[in-house]
Amino acid sequence: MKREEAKAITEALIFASPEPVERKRIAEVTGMEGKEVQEILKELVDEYSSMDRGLRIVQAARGYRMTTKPEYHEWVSKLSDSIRPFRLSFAALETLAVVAYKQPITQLEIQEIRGVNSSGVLRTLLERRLLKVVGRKKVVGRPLLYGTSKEFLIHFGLNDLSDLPSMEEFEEILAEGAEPP
Amino acid sequence: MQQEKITFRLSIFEGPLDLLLYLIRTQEIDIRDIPIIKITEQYLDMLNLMKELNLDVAGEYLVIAATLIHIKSRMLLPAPPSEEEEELEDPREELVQKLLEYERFKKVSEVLYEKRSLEGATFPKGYSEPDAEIEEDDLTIEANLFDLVAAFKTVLETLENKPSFEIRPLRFSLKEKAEQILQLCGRKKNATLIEVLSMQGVKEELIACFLALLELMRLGAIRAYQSQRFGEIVIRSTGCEVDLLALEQEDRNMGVEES
Repeated sequence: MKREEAKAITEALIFASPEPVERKRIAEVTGMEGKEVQEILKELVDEYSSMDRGLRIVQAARGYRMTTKPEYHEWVSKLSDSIRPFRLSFAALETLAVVAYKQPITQLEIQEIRGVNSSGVLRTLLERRLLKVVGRKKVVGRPLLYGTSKEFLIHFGLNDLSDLPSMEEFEEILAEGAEPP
Repeated sequence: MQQEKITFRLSIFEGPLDLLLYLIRTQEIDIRDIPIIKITEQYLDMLNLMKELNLDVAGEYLVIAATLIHIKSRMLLPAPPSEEEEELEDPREELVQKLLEYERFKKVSEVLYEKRSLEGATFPKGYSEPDAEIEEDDLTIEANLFDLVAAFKTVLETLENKPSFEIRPLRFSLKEKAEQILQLCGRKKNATLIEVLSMQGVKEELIACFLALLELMRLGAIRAYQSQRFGEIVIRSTGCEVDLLALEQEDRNMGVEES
């Protein structure tokens, strides 16, 4: 397989996949070496970002996916009423923030931190598949434990959870009393 | 006549810790040294105002109110005479830790918000929104309930200083107020909250206007934005057609005739 052909195939795989394709999976399908796949992916990402095209290839949830470029969102949204980002309330963002850093976590523990009943917002986030049930806590009542999903990573453009600033970094920001950038 | 009260449930509500932090941060108070008497007073004032507006003050608010009062009483008690014991724990410590932890997560949610603002503008092939809601303006953040209530309080206070010669109890139609608000933010596209509230005459009219405003927000007919946290609040019409049946019903319950 020629290099150009391999690149075209990789592009086709990313386009056709309903969710982010992992590098390993591309290697399995094409029979290429992992290192070669990595090079090709890097080239593709760079080419898309430098070309005057409406699409981009990005890393998300440890894989690669193809989306429209953000600068064209107004045009894309004109196409149909259903093409628009779904809004998350501050309550939802706050709950996701708590779960992202404290998972696995129970509903009660989330409420402790937020100081407010969180059952409604938790249900919404589960329905939207941004959160998932990851098990049960081994305490009385065996309450459900929640964690973030792959959807969550994709939704916020994260490759994995370590893309979020560490709690220590937040401590520093707050200790300095500095304004967030 | 039966006077049933409407209770407005607001999804933009973020809880008692948020309210406390709001009080502390807007007044640039050192969180490690909270003037507990002052803050408790302000906190209870806010709760009373929310109750006066028939907002649904959830139990969690009362729990924090009780905590504040408890801390206040402990701080007023003289310290025990024995000096030998280890340094006494500040009664505020537990609450401060809770607030700091909460604030950290608030910061995280701001980071998530920013990340989402970028990602939300990109779409994979075949994308379709799960349930279409109102588009968000990336340049503005949505005002929360406390900002709204604080603005309302400001106008209410200036109004109370005005001499009033009204004796007869007045009732104002919520539906008419809602129509007025829609007209205001429809024509100018943007109207500031203070602008809208300042147009009202007496206290009852002001309250009716504010309630109509909250109901319109609940229905999704308008949204409140500010360009920065604690900044001026701007009301914008979303252009959604809404029916004001609930307000009409409420007007009827209150014995208000349409003029």
